[in-house]
Amino acid sequence: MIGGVFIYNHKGEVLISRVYRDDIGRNAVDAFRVNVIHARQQSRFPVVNIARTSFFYTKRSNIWLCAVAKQNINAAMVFEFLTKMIDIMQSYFGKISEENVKNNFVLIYELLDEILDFGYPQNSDTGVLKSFITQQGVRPVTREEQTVITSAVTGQIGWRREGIKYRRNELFLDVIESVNLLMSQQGQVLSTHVAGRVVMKSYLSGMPECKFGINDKITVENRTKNQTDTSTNGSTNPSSTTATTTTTKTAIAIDDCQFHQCVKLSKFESEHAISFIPPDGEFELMRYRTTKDISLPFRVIPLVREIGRTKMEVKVVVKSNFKPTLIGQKIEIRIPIPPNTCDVQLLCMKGKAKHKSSDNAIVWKMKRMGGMKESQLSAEIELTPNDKKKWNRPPISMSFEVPFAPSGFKVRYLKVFEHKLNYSDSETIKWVRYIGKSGLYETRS
Amino acid sequence: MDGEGKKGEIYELKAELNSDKRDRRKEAVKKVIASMTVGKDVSQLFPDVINCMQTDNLELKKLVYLYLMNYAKTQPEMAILAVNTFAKDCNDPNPLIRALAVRTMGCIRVDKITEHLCEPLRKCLKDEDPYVRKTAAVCVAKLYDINQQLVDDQGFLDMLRDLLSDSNPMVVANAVAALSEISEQSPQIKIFDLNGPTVNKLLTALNECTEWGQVFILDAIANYSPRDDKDAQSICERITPRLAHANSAVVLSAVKVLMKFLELIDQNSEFVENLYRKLAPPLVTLLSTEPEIQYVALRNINLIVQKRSDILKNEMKVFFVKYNDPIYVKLEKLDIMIRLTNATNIAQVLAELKEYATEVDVDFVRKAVRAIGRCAIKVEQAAERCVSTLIDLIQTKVNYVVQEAIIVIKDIFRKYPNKYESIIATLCENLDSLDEPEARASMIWIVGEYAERIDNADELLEGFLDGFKDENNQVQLQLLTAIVKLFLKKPTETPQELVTRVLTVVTQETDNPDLRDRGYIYWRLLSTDPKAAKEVILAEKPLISEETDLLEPTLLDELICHIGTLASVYHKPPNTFVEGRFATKKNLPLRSGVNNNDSDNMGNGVQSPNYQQQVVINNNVGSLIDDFDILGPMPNTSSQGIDIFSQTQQQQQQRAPSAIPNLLDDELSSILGIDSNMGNNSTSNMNTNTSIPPNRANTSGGNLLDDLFGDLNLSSGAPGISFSNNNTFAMPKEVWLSAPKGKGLEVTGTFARRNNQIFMEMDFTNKALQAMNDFALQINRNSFGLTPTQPLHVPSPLFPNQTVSAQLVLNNTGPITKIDPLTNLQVAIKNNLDVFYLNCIVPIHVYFVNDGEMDKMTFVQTWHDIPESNEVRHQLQNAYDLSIDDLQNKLRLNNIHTITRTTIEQKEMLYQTIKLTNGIFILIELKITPGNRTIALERKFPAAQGAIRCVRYNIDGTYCLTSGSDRTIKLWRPDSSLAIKTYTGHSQEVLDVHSSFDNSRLCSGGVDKRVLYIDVMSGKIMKKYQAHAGRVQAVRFNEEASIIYSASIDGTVKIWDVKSRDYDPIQVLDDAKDSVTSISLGNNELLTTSLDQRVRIYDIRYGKLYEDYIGHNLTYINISHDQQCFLVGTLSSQMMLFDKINGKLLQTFVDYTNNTYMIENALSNDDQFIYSGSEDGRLICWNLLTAEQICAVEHEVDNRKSVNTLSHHPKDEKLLTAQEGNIYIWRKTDEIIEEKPEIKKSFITEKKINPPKFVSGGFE
Repeated sequence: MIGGVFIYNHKGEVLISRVYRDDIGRNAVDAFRVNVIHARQQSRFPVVNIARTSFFYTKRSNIWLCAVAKQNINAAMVFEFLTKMIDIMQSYFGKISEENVKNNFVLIYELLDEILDFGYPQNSDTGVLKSFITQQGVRPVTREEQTVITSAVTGQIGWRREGIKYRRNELFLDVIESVNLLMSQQGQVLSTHVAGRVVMKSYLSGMPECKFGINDKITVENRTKNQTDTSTNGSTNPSSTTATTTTTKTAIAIDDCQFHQCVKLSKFESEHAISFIPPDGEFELMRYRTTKDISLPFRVIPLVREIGRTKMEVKVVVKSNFKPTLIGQKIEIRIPIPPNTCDVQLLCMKGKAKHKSSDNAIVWKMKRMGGMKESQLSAEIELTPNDKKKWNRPPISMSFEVPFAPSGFKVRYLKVFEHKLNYSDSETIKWVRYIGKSGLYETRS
Repeated sequence: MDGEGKKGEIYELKAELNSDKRDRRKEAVKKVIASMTVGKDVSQLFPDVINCMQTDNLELKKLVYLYLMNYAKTQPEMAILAVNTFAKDCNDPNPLIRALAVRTMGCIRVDKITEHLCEPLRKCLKDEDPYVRKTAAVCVAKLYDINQQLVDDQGFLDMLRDLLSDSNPMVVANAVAALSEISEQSPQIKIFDLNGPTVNKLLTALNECTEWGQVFILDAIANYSPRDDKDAQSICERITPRLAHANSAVVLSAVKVLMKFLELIDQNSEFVENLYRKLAPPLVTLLSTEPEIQYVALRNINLIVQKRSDILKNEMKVFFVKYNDPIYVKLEKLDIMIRLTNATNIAQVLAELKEYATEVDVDFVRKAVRAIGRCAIKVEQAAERCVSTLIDLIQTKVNYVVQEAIIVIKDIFRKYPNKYESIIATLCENLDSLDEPEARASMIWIVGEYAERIDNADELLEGFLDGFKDENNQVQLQLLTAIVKLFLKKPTETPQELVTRVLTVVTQETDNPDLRDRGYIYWRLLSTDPKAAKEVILAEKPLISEETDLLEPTLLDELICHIGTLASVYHKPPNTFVEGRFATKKNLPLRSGVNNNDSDNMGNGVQSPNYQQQVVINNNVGSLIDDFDILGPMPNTSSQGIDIFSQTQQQQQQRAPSAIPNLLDDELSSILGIDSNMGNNSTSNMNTNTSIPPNRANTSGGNLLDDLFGDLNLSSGAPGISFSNNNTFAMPKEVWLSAPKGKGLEVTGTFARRNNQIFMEMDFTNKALQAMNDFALQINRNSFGLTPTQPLHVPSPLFPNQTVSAQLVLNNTGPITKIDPLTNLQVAIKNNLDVFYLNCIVPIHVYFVNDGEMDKMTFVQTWHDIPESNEVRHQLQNAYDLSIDDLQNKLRLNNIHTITRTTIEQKEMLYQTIKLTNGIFILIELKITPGNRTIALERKFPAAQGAIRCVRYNIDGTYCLTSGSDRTIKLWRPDSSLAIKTYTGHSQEVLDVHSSFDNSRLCSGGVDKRVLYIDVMSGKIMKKYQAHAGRVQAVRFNEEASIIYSASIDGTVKIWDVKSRDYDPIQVLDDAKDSVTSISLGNNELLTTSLDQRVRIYDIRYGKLYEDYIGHNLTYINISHDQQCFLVGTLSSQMMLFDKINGKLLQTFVDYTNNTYMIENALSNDDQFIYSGSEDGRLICWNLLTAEQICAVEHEVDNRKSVNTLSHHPKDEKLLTAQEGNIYIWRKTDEIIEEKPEIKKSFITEKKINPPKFVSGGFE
């Protein structure tokens, strides 16, 4: 298992070093510094083996996080742990920076003591950890609280403590989708997928059980099948076929989905029902991925012409492809240009375009754009002659935000049951919001 | 977290730790921990920190515990003090404190403490609070790591097993983790016995525990062997939901269990098909996580695809590379793409790969190019498209792309023979740009394989053969095979010569057994049965299989068992990177019905074997493609092998058609040059032209003339032989047969002519341990018909370590056979041990007979008859200061007769004849040009600083700097020999010094590895840089004197910013593989030479490095003033002038001596002349264009000490040199400039007057 965890600043100075196993010596700290942080050639892999010791590392801004092991341990687990650790630290003190780490080093040691025992990751849920480890030191706890904490840390429902009370039972659901696209110059879609997240903020009293319904093809089909089964029992009318045709239009095929640990996976597997007891506050309920029938909100059509060796013409057309009643926001198109550019003449129909020489790109920003619209930018680029290296054209990338789910994902219902406190589903206030965002949205030029 | 570990700080901390106030104590402990983190030793505070342990404050307690864990080991005695507190804490009502105590105690690895640990631990294992129990479970594993016996004795293992049935899932998970670790440490004992009920319990806990607990449990279940098909299926069913978990470790561990158990399930069942469908999406989802996790996932997907490619066969698109992917993700995706390529998706893949081949990252591009080739091999329909894509890529001329493309094209040829050969021409165009061994080997293979279709295959291969010794082994092997193939396919003249050449090189001059053995095999095949050779060497090669880089199946199976772990990331079994005890080998479960000794495979009865497909592996494609195995009757002992070989070799040589001797041998000069270090002080030139009568010319070999003049030189130049001596010249004895080859017998010998007889003089030395006797000698037929006149007499027995001399009179009455070279003589010596064959060269002068004098008229007549083609012209340079009479005498002694002597245009002309034993006449014209001293000594003065290591003019030539072996640097005004200042600061010899453009600063470097930056006025050392690991060979300022470049024998050039306060170099150029010997600065370039035989040109503006391989050890570099060429001095007595732009060798300057020292050279200001010192004490000047030596002056008549350093005046035609402790200033005299064209003219006119025959020479 994990033999030790080190945190370095960008200079390679150790900020945190916590060793869990005897086989990791102090020299491991230096080995990593010398062979990775100060290495002449940047290491090309996130795992390196130095003298039979494996170093797993990741970098956040200027901070290196490194886990060390001497055994054949579960590598996926180590990286998951490192990302988890980053999440925890961020939720405790914000951005991971040298200063923040230094200021909170006692806290970090305390956390490391709690979430790793002898190199085995233990409960790492931020909510639970915050119940007994705080930035102000350890909270004095009463006896009752102690048992609550320990059962929370170890219990079946590790993510929620008992006895939560709200005056207003409220919950917010955000469906956040990021659309990823890779398109060829000719406008052929090379690959596209939507990575979606359902983020829930729950302010519910007691231990509520929730049931969540979505327009997933399988679930919907299951349901209609059941319906038709029952209906065929009753009467033999052929409405079953019409029922399926209507549902297939609204249902989407989810390639894969993952759930927060609170979701009962076995129930999902058997009944395709998503039921769970939500943690208090904000959490990510599910993640899903779809690849079929994605409505691409925007389309970028680039036209790059090289005129001789010192001039280039770029024309970029953006088309929005959604209902005219909706409005896309925060649109930014980044058009890479060669590093030997000396002058750029820009002309755009809408928004503002700028040449950012530090990024070697033209950045074209539009605050908003309605559906089914089209806009155009043309640029004349003058180059200094450069016979050195061929410029490999990086793709044109785009970012945006639209108020719908490009995959067609729909929340069908969310029901809340609380047996003890007895507030009904209809009494809870529910908010649902859809946000479509750009992931890697690229068009090759 | 700052401050330095001073005594005072520790003291302060101590005080604060003992303070009354809790807050202050807490702050102090925090400071202690901070110091500990940075690696400072704060162990002295141990007792004080322990004192703080007794507190209710949990935070403080935790900090103290942290301290304890770190230092308990260093202070075991003190650690005991903490035991009581631990015991007390274990009974604390607060479960958090109980758990903390037991957790910390386990981490204190002190034997004495572990004894006290048992009781609290036992209690905690049965604690009412699950939090304490789960902590205690891990503690058992900790304890087992410290003391296995104790854990066994105390029955903790049973308690741990009980915890598997605990009501709390996390306790179960931790117990599983602890048990797994313990059983891995002691695999011999069955500690963790997984059976049906246990697994059932674990599966129940799986649904409810934390993500990490799920990982522990899944990893443990992976080690379970299900009873049967059904059992496996039901476990799989219960595990499949885990694939939807957000934690990738859970997903991968679940995949591992499924992949393992799949082995046990009927492959054709619907269940497997379903499972395949369920496995794909979660694997794809892993690709949208953090890049590090993606990498782990991709490495695992790579394994899964190799094992069961069906799972992801439809998911090609997700592996398309994104622009922003980190390089490790890109490379891995590419690898998987190729594995998933099939006929249906090839078009898409190819379009992608083409895109990738234009990226920037070299590794990635290479892999993409290779991938295209692999697609061609894998999908036949696409082969043509792939090939044309590759050709397009070759047209880009990007060096590494071309090389990579050629490597894959070779594989394509092997897969589809006789299909795409039309592209060979394109490939051949890029021959010159290949510099990587693999690419070269591939190209050579292609040339050899298709030799019959390539018109100039022989030329191409010959080109490679020239640099044979410098090639990589792989290339050498390919070249050998290719040449033999060429010979078998086109058995004409040139290939035959090539084959002989390559076989000779391979068998005689190489140390590599592979190469040598293959050479022998070919040789024997060719010489015994050419038909068989054809069959063997040109045999049909098996087509290469499509999968070229699959993992070996057993390794793959083992790695499948390690999915998710490091082993799967490294693609290596754990024992290769883990210390022994954790490295247990895992195997995939076998389906029942297959016999296996492994204990965890039980049950039998079902039929089908489990390994569905056995993939053909072709691991070594690309290395030894047409390696063939002949395990024929190769002799076992090496000595026999050599015997056979030497016979074969003789046969070969006899069979080979004797080449038409090339009398106009260009190598003349070079061979004469070898003798130039014999030590002489000649300042004259001697030009000789020789003509040989046409009718007899074909009997003499090219080497004759070399030897003729070589010997002549020696005879006049060899020390110790005065010309008045009556003895004729004889070469010193050389080793003919070395002791290892002669089984202990060493033979050295030489030939001499005395009293008109040829003597063969030999020394026999017995270096074996036994006596030798029965010596006999035989001489093979030879060009001059030499035979012994009497049998060899060697007094026998010849005892060990005894040496005897023997002399044999030879005459030339024997049968005549032409052999090559003509002067070669094959001798067989026999003794009681064996027969030894040896080759020796008979120096030509022994064949000169004394009646070679010719009548004047006949001479003139013959001279006119000789065609120009038989004329050879050669320049001698090592002639002594002999008078012409003396010279005549000396030559006459050696049977070179002077017929007549005239003077034309102040030049002495001697006409001479030589007659050989077989009646051939050689006619000589010797022109002696009076020497032209073109450099005059202007001034000489002692520097009084020991031996001078370097002299340097300053920027305008008014001052000069010298550095000496007495560790000083001196500044002079050379015109008045005035020493202005002496600088000290080096602790050893100063090797180089350079002054800045404004004369205000100087920099120096020396044996003491230092680089100094000195103020000229005050002599103060401004900077002292000491980062070199070896002595500093050269230093230079840049133009603005803001930067110092220093070159050292540690192989680096370091660049220092003198303005910076930092003492680290701003850049280190460590490209050289050996010492950097000199640097030279061009306009925007830095040129360096190195003993790794390369010149490196760093383009400072573009940050590019150009490397030129010169092939000699390089000592000094100078860039010409026009920046077009550079001149390098080598340790093989030649200077070479190269074109800087294209690296072409423009001129070679010879006739000086430089074998040992770093001799500097200089170019005149107009780049017309080249100057260099010489190890024989001369200063030599050449014409840059013609490479003609214009003059050579001695420094002292009786001093032949080396002249290492020189510096050309930046404005005037002046030179500064140093020999030993003296400084010399030379001025180029004007008269030379007049005289020079005259010499030229005389050459030209002479040629006109007497076109073919007249020869001229010069002498002082």
